[in-house]
Amino acid sequence: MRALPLLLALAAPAHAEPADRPHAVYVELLGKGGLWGLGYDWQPTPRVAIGAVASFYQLDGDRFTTLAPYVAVYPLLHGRHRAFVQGGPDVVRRATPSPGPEWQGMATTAYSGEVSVGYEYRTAVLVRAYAIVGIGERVAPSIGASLGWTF
Amino acid sequence: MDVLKAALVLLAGCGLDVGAAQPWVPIGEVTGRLAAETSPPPRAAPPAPATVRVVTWNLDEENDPGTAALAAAIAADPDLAAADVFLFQEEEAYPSEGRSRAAVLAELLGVGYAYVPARPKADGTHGLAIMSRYPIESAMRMDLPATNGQPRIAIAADIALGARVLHVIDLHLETYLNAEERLAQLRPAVLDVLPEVVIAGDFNMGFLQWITTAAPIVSASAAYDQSPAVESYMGALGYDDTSATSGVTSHAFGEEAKLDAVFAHGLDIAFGGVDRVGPSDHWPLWFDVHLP
Repeated sequence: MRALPLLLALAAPAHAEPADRPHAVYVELLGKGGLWGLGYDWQPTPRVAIGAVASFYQLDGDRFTTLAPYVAVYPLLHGRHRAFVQGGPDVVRRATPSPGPEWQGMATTAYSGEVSVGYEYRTAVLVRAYAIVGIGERVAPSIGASLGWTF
Repeated sequence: MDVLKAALVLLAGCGLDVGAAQPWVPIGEVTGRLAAETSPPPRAAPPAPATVRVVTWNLDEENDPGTAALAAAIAADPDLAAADVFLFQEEEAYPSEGRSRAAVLAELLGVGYAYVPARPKADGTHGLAIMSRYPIESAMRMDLPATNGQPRIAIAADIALGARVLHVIDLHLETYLNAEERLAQLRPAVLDVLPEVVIAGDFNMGFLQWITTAAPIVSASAAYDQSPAVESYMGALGYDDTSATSGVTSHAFGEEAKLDAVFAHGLDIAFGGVDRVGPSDHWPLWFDVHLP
């Protein structure tokens, strides 16, 4: 309950208006989507965003599909420069084909969570660089970057 | 090229890329630098036991943990010291050391051995070894399908236990493979399911996915774990997952993972455990084969 006032304060707009360019579409590399991802988020206020990243890719026959919704807060805003914290679940489905007829292959779906902290440069262009900690079967640190545009 | 491959993966993914399956061949057929080295047990084999204790362990000789330290770890652990058969991965030999590390380790353990190099390394070799208090017979090697990593092999042998034999297969799969390629590399060594066989070794079935050998994808998701695919594949072939409850078996780079496994067919086996001992970045797994 102690966190609630802080969250409300972060959610409250610095000014009454919504963000000037509240929508963002971006491509990320080595982020929530694994190898890559296509993301969208929306800022109802300058300090809060909600969004999701989706991806599909194939590595040596193994196919990975990921969906990672998230909530972001911006504790630091300085013009075009912002620091953000994002968090949310992700679901990954992996399909492994068989190398021969003796096995049917298999598919696995698993859920985990991720928290990322990073820097955002936001004008018409969106650039993000961030560190991620995945929390699931293990704790897995990694880094990611995004490039997109806002509207 | 790595960057180019990564870019192509982003757009289209990439297909299976492993070499052709090779047959089992007697280890004596390979001569030259990759010739096998064997020695019988130094003492007469004890009477045929009712239970055979087997250990599988990646020794990490690649990073030279010290053969004496490996032997001491085995001798100090009652579970391991009681072993009759050892299936080792990452054994090495260098001419400058006088004798192969397999020869030294076997002498310290008081067992016979078959050391089978998989590939040259510097002026020496790197490979697998089977060691046993009982005679090692009919040893064979298989060059596993080539991948973008190092040459890998499996070795098979009959452990002569009086009037009967225990057929064992020792293998070490490539690190930098995703699940389907891993299974494709494993497949030739396990596809012919023998009536009684133990298959053990370092399957390298970790949780990293590889864009290239230099670029892993790290994830906390259990979906990235390759062990369910290996276990499911072996189960489909009819093997028992002897080490299903082993938990993690390695601790490289500060991360614990289940890389090693034991599978069996047609045998009564009790899995013992993973003993967290020794200087290697893997821990030894041990199990008991109960003979009828």
